Amino acid sequence: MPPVSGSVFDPDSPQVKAMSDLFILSLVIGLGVLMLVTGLVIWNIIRYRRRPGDNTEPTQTAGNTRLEVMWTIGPFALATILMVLTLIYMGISDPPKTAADQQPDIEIVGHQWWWEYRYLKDGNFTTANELHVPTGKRLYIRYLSSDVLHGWWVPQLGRQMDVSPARDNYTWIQSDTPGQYYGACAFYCGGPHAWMLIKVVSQPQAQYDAWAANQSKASQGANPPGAESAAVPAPTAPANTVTPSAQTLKAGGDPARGQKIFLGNTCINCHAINGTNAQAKVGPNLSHFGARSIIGAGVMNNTPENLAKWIYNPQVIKPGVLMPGYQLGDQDMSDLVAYLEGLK
Amino acid sequence: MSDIPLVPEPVKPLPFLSEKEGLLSWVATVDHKLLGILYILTSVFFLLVGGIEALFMRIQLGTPQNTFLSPTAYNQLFTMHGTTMIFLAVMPVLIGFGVYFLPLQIGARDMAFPRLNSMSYWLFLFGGLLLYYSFVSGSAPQGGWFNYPTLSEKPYETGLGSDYWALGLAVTGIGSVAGGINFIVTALTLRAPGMRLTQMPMFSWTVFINGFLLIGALPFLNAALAMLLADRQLGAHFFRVQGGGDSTLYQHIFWAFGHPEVYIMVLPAFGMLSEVIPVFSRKPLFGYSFVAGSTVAILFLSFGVYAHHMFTADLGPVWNFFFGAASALIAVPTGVKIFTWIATMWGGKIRFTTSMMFATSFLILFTIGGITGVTFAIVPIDWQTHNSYYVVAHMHYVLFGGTAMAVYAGTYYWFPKMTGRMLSEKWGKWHFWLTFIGFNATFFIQHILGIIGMPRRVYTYPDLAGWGIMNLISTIGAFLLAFSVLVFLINVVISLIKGERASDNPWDAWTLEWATTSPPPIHNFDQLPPIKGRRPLWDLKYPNDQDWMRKENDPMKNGEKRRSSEE
Repeated sequence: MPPVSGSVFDPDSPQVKAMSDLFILSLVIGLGVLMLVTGLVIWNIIRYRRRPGDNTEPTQTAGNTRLEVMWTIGPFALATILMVLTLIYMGISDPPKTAADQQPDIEIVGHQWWWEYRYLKDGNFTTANELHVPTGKRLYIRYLSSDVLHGWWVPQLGRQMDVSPARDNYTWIQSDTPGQYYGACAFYCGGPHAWMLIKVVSQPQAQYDAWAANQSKASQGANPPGAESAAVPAPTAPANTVTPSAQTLKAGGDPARGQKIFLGNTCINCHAINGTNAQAKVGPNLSHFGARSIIGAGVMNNTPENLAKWIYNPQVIKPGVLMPGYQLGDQDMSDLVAYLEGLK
Repeated sequence: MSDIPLVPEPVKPLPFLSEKEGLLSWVATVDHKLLGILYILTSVFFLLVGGIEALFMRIQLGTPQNTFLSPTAYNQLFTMHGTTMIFLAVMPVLIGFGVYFLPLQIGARDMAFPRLNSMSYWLFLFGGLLLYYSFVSGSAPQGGWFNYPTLSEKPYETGLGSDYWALGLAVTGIGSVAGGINFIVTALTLRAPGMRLTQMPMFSWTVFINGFLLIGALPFLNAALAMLLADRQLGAHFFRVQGGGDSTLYQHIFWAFGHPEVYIMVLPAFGMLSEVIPVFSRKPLFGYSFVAGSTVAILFLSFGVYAHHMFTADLGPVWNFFFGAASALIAVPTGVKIFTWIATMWGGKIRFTTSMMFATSFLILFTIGGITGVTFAIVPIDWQTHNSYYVVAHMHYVLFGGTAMAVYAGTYYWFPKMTGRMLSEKWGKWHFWLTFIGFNATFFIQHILGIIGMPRRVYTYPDLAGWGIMNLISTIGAFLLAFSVLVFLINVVISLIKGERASDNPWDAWTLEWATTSPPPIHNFDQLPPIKGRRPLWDLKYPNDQDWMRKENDPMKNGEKRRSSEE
């Protein structure tokens, strides 16, 4: 993940700029109200504190209609101003569709506890957890959920949106500066909801096009050379004694053997790798996994060591995650990691 | 408090458990005073439980990627913390004060339906215990205090947590509706001769209005609970998307209850403040009719704002703007109240007792909560801050900085009446400052956490710049706050044993509860003073300057200033 989270006040799109401006304006007005109230209270405390020995009663004032009407109209006027601004800014921060039947650029699907991204226009491919967007282009997004309510929220790029199993929601997102942006699942979705982070990579159009073109094809690493002839792997020494933290990766793992291990295990019950027989859609699509920078929806950075720990026992890293652990031997694990990291 | 006269020990303040039939006299009681104390004690117990749950959560969040709690444990804790604080601590403590003081303030002998009153209490207690039995049964609820489907449905929650949650809340909910009916009927029928509805003390007025909120809001919750239970146990499809149901429907029904619920937890606190501030400022409440009217305005508005909890559900601009505007309107009656209390203090001779200190701090803290509340009505801001720690900060400023501070003020104010002994002012000052500092240390920084992108209800968080240190500060604040509660409990115990004896009217207050002994006898009043205005005891004390004698017999209609008889 980027080392710094994005603040609501650090907008990277016109939509968020509008929300940020309105927020700052409201806080300034609010601060004015707070200072007025605090000032009056402090004045009361200093000026109207009972002096020692003074046991007389003060003037019994029970009201003043003019004052009371004033402080009814005052907040009402303020609320009216804020609501006019709200009406104006709502249209900027969540622009209407340009056509009733507009097709989304990207479909975002929430799962317990990861994100699926379906690119519908720039090639037709599916990726997970790390969203790539072209810089400066406003993208129309459809939100779906496969199970429970989630919330897609990248503070710098667009409004927060519920990701509901009951209805399709739509909004626009945009990034005006190349870079990486942090986001998170905003709505509590059970279990390890905390590890349903979002990473957005904003790239100049040319770079993005190259990325999308690559994503549209099967990874060259999906069928490593020698895969046809690689022997069906005999299981290496059982790893009962090997703890995840001590998992040692052997240098030069054999991706061809790794592919056999992947396809020969229950990995393929949930994951897909384009260009192979693995085509399941239960878990994240791993077609270009080696090019992603995070594992487990942001719980770890994608390094070979982390990947080995993750495959060995994901439950200690992200308790509740639906993936089971695979206690592979050192050689098998090294081969499998080499294969997956080779899926660029 | 040297100006308080020495008073002899009370003959028998309250039945002790150690005496013969002591326990029975508590369990079998239909007396509103004993039931009020039971309500308050039970809610203090649940406050401690909910507070300990919060401390566990804060320990877990003290450092990034902490492994002190598993996600499941954390999810259960935050679910139970929210549910406990709302349904088993804040609501019942306010109902408890209402049950105790509504009859006393209007000069009645008891509530209109004493046995129904008793039933309400026992439903509350056993509903709470039923909810907590889920821990013993092995699967505490973990769907959040809102418990949205489809997460609360099978197969996403396979244990019985959701079922215990729904059943427990339904039981307490039925008790709350009965309590609401009781409040309304009591206020309408049992007022002392001569007391008009608009002459009720402001606390009684807010309890009366709260009765309408209770019977208006709780049935929504009970309906949602029944449908959820039917889905889970009978295979119905109200909210199960896979079966053709609509999980968004639950959100509508839940928040149709959930937002009025916020005012159920705030209105009686407003009422307490409207008792405490005038008495310690030595002036009548400024603009009674505006305060009373704004309370009614909140009653009606509160049922028309609920969808501001659903601005991220993409209901469309018309829905969003309507509910945004309605929510912003709530700022009007609330603003009226804040200015009213400030004007009540203005020109007074303020005695800064512990009670008044809590009441004064309410004015600032609740204003902060109100301002952040308005930012949620501004729809585009809500689109950024919804479900973030900004919301957590906001609602604790409303419910702790607001309601809890008011309840503390009310407790220091009424404790002498309820027990016959004063709470220690020395311990009280410590209690106040620890609470004030601890509260702000815990929650102010959470505004910033939300703004930089920290979502709520996460059991841990990545080690991003600033997140760890801000969460640590919040955790330290939480322990300070917990310590303040300990100081309060010590104060209560010490004061009960050897506190200064309270006279009938130690604060020189003006409403009817102070016209009887401390604590009051079982029948409340031997005789009532004549009631010609809102402050019968003021009229009694200053026969030449009674409220009703002032211009037009109605102090609200003019700003005419009158010197009191002593000046």
